[in-house]
Amino acid sequence: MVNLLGQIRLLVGLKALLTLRSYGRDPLSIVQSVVFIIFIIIFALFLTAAIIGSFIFMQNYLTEAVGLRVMFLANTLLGIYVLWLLVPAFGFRINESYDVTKLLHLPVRRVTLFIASILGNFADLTILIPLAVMAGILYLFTVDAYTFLFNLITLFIFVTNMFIAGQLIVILLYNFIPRIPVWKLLIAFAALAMLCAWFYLAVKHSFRHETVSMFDIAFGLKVYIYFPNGMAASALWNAREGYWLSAFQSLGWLTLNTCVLGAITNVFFSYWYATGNIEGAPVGVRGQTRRAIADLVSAFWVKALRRFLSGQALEVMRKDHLNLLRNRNFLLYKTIPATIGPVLIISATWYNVNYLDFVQREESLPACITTAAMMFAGFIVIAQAHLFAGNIFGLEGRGIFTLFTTEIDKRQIVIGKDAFLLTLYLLDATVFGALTWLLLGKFVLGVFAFLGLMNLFMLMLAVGNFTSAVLPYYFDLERPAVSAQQVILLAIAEAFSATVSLCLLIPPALFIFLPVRFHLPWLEIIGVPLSFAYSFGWLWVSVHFAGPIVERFERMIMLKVSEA
Amino acid sequence: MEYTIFLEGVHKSYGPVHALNGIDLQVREGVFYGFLGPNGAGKSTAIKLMIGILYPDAGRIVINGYDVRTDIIKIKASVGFLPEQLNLYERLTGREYLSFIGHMHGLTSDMVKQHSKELIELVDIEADKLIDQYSLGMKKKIALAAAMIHKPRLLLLDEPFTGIDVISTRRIREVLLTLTKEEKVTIFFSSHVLEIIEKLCTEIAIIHKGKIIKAGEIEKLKREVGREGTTLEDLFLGLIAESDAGSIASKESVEPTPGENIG
Repeated sequence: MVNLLGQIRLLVGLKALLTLRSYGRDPLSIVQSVVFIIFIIIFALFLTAAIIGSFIFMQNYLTEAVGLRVMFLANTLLGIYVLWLLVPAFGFRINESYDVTKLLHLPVRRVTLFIASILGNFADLTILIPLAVMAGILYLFTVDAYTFLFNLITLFIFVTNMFIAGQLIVILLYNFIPRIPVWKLLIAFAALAMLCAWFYLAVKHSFRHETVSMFDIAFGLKVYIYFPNGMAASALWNAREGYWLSAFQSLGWLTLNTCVLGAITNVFFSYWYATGNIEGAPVGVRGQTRRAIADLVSAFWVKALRRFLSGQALEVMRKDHLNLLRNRNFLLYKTIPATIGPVLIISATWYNVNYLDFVQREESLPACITTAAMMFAGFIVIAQAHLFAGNIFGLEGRGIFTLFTTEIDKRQIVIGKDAFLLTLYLLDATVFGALTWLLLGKFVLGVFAFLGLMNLFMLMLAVGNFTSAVLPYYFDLERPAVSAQQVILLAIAEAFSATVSLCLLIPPALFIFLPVRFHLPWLEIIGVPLSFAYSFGWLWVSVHFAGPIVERFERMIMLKVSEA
Repeated sequence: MEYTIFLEGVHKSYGPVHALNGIDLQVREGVFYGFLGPNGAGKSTAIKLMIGILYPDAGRIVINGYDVRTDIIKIKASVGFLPEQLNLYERLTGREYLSFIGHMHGLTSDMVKQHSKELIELVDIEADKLIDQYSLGMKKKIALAAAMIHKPRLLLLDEPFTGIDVISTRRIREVLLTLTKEEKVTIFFSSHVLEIIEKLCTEIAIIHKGKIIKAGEIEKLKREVGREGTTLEDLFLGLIAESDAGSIASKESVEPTPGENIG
């Protein structure tokens, strides 16, 4: 019988090999991999540089605001943590080794699988982002050899904690939650609602003050201290300042938190391990309610939009609605981007922006920083929406091949798909607007948030139509193989289109956010319709542009099918 | 007598659906044992319980002398398993996959190399191609080779011949027969292809709606039910029909029809 370490080594090796092999199976995936790798490296370096720069800036220019720096550290750690958790939530399963059901018949203990799955995270390419940030933090907080060693251990435990939480998300998302009965899911959502209410009260309390005081910073830290990011931030900060007793105390709490989280995850993992092959359960036992809801929702949208869309586009939209709504993970997908995301964005960003407002008055901080912070909120939402949209396309990606074999007008496919996404975005924007109103206490801000977000989503669709239409043009249909030169050209083209896309987003972002920020309602009255017209114009152009491209894509698919 | 496979009163449910309703089964060492049943009868569930992928709700399962509740790792180490739905890592080559499985079973690198070479020749596959480039038959063959790499005492094969061409089927059949005759390996396999079962197996069990309706030597069973000289297909269809008729009759005797007064 092979020993524990030997099996862990084999499993981690398997994961690394599969990760490596997942890049470059065909020309399209080679291109996507190159773009992904370039993006990851640039993003990791840029993020680390931004964190180091911001921290040094605060250290030099905001010398009195010590709490802000601690808060910044805690927020950075939280950001990395949340980013890591969201990666699997958005469906980026970059290799096959998450699926332990393929190993269930082998003589391997579940604890071995569990440890290997945690360590296997180091074989993921996305690890470059947290590792680069951790390296930056290590650089910022290292004073001598002792602090270096202490910080290294702290960050290692923090990263392990993050991996375990990521593992928990993966288990829940792909294996556990779909099997939980609805009433159990309702209990979980009730708990989430209580958490939101508690968070709301906390934020509301801090907004009672005209400006955010040091008390609020301390309050924020008090909240964070119950979470891994706060514990790690406290340990790092105290070690840097030489308060070793407090530093070790925080490290102890972080370790305990990691162990408890590991134990909880292991319980779920064991359940998964024991029931991992339950897919053989007879058809028709589950999902009846979900199907009824899906039928109801799709029928509603068909009825609502039948005056505006052709029958073909409506059918495409209906098919996508049914595909998505009947998906067992739909509820979870909607929960994360449409509820938890906006709560985090509004509360964290608004809180920090208010503090920046306060600092600006006190210490003459450049006004552009406040504006940039406001823009930041918008762009996070955009990125989130983009990821979500990508995931939806991934979900029904195979269905589009079936449509290509029909006589349907290809432009109607694009219109139908855009209409489908807009109906989903409407839900996102409504939740976002309602939360803005609830958390900030001003109805008009809720309305602006709703309108602004819908506007941006519309533009995102236009950009999506353009970028997804650009790619197939680069391939020689007669030669399926792709050269290194083509890959590089494609990567450049992709990077260029991404940059252009971002530039397109700036005008409506300015139209919507700046008047709110500077309390200019008259500008808002002009700005909202103007930006709507701008976005709708792009959407219209993109549909007419993407139609012929889809036709070409169809020919490429048909060629591949006939080759196969 | 010690059995290679011993099941006693095994129950397994998926929510409200009872997949297995207290099955009893005994399989001796070195026997080529066929497991028959219509779709949804509980064949795959029973096999998954034997390998420890699923846990029984009630009953006792002993495989190769090990109890499934206490010695699950030992069972997995001593059994080779070919699932109906092939769970392969498709971005590995056939050779890499065999090497991974061999090492996970604790074989040395030399043993892995030697066994892989033998098995690759035996099942006749292109071992250096990625598995995702294999046809279904080739995938079946590599999965079968992986199930045999550690030279197990028991092979549990769930629909092993589905999707495999005639030439390969004959070759694999010969290999499996050699294993049972010369090396006393017990082979337990489920299949819909009754001709193959009739050619290979000495003993069978027929499962229907989660219950074993008949088990034993094929010829003995035919005599028992008065179907001597008929094919296995006739025997199978006859027993299933009898079982259905029996269950309907027993249901009718318990449930009153609408408007009928049982008092």
